[in-house]
Amino acid sequence: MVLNSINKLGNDYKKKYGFRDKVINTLDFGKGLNESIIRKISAHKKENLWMLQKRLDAYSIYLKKPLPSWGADLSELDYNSIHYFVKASKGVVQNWNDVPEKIKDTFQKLGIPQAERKFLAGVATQYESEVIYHKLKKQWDKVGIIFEDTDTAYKKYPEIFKKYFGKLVPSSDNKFSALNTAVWSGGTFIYVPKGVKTTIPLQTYFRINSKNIGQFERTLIIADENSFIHYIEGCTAPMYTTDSLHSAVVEVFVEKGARVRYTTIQNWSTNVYNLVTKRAVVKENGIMEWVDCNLGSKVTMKYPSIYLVGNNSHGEILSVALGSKGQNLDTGAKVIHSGKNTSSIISSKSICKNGGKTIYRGFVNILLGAINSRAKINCDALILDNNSETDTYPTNILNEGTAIISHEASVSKVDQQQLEYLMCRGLSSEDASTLVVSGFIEPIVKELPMEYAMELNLLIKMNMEDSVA
Amino acid sequence: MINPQSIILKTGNQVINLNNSDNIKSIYLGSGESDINSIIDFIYSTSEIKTNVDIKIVLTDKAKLSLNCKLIIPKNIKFIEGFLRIKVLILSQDARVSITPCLEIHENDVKCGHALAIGVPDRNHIEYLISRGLDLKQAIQLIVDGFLNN
Repeated sequence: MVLNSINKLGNDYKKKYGFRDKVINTLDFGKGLNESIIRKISAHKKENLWMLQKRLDAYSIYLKKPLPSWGADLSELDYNSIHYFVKASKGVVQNWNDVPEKIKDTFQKLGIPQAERKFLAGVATQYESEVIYHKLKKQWDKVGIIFEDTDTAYKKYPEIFKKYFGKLVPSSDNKFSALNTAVWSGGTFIYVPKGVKTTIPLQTYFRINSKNIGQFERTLIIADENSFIHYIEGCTAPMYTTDSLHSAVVEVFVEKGARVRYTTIQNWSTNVYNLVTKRAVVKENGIMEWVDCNLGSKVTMKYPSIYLVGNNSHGEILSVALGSKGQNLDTGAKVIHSGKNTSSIISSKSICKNGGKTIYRGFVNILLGAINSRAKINCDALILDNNSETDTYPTNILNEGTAIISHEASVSKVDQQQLEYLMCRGLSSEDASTLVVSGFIEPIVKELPMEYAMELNLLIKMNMEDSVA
Repeated sequence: MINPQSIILKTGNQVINLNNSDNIKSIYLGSGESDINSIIDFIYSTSEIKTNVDIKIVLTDKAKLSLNCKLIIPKNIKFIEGFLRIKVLILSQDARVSITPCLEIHENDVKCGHALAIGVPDRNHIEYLISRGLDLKQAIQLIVDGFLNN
């Protein structure tokens, strides 16, 4: 069978990524969630009343909000068996040598030291619920870029923090944004001053290690006028038998003339529920780009969204989803046009195999007054065997008579003729399959900065290229 | 020779079984304060057929349309080629449209897709026709005729 090799993807996942290091957690508030745990988290972080109240309000909203009635089945998730706060190390460290050996060992397996050696100065790494390793390149300090873990930023920059925190994704937005606001810990905070353009991307790695640990990081990015920032987020987690929950909230503020590119490589192991709320607001002449690669997790529900409120603003969402056995990747994109002459492009590629399920769920709404706005949506799916499923649910709403929406989608299997053509030119069946699948996702993979961390390269290679080799 | 079947867009749910290779067409003209809220499921019920669904919509005045169209290929229905194409021409600033063209595919031996375009008449086209002696109403009429007959 020509595609046998494709179907092997993920079989060696446990060997490659399913290792678990015996990290001794220094602080753990136990399983389940109640008001007392939230108070403990807040007290441990020495937060003021404002934040404690925000957490408690969010918790009461979380209890009242129902689970989404659409999308993936979340009924198997046992909220009472999750540890909502675990601290793996004694705090934020600036120097690699200060990182505990056990944790360092895990990162070494993921290739982070190489990345650090070769390219990086600015890596903030989230291990379980606290950022433990955070190094800031001096040149960013000089130009005034703030690149901190969110806990530190809350303490060091309370004014900026208060101004932006929860303004774009309020806790009442959905059940999981409420949960995140109630128990958030760690994440990344970036502020780019006016006119500053970064040449090297800032990046953070997230990783879950302990059993039943939910990660609830909170990311806040503010790009001031005419600035540019590229932020890269990569995830991987060891394989476990019980389910873990990852529920993050990301808020991005793109001010006038600024540009933000946010790249995610999501590669949680296939027992993780990945329920993330990502949202950006773009002002006049600003540009927001989400590059979203979803390779792992058991269930993903993630729809990066862009609010184009400024005139002439532009939004772009590129996404790849690869769903294998037991995976349900419900991904998509949302764009709301409210400024004049705004434009957006959504490009989605999904591949499903070995009984996996991929879903594209899109939403484009051009509001009244968004004169001459344009939206273009393109979503393609590749089904590699007859046990897999793919669906697309794009909703397009137009309330402005001068605007244009165009949408296109296609679903197909790997063309046998293409494979045979390549094989008769001397390629093996594996190489031919690789070439076809690589070609399918190439428009999005080429947007990824492949020269960065070894970790990113490793994940892309194993999950996209190696998968069919 | 393909004999196009036609469907009527109306408020409510419709389920249409596709069991032959006849194409399906629909034209809808919304004017005044018409308000249609329609959900249509196209279910392929026979293997080895090629069926396209073409829906053209023209909206003017304060017409509203909400349309949810779904192509469904159930398990064990194989070798299907299907395409859902929806085009919407908006002639008024007050017209409102919400369209969700969905695909639900449970088999891999298929070639399926959908396309949606929502837009207004090209200003250049209108000006060209006016410069040839037509008035605005005639020019738009000609463009709408071309849109529907193409």
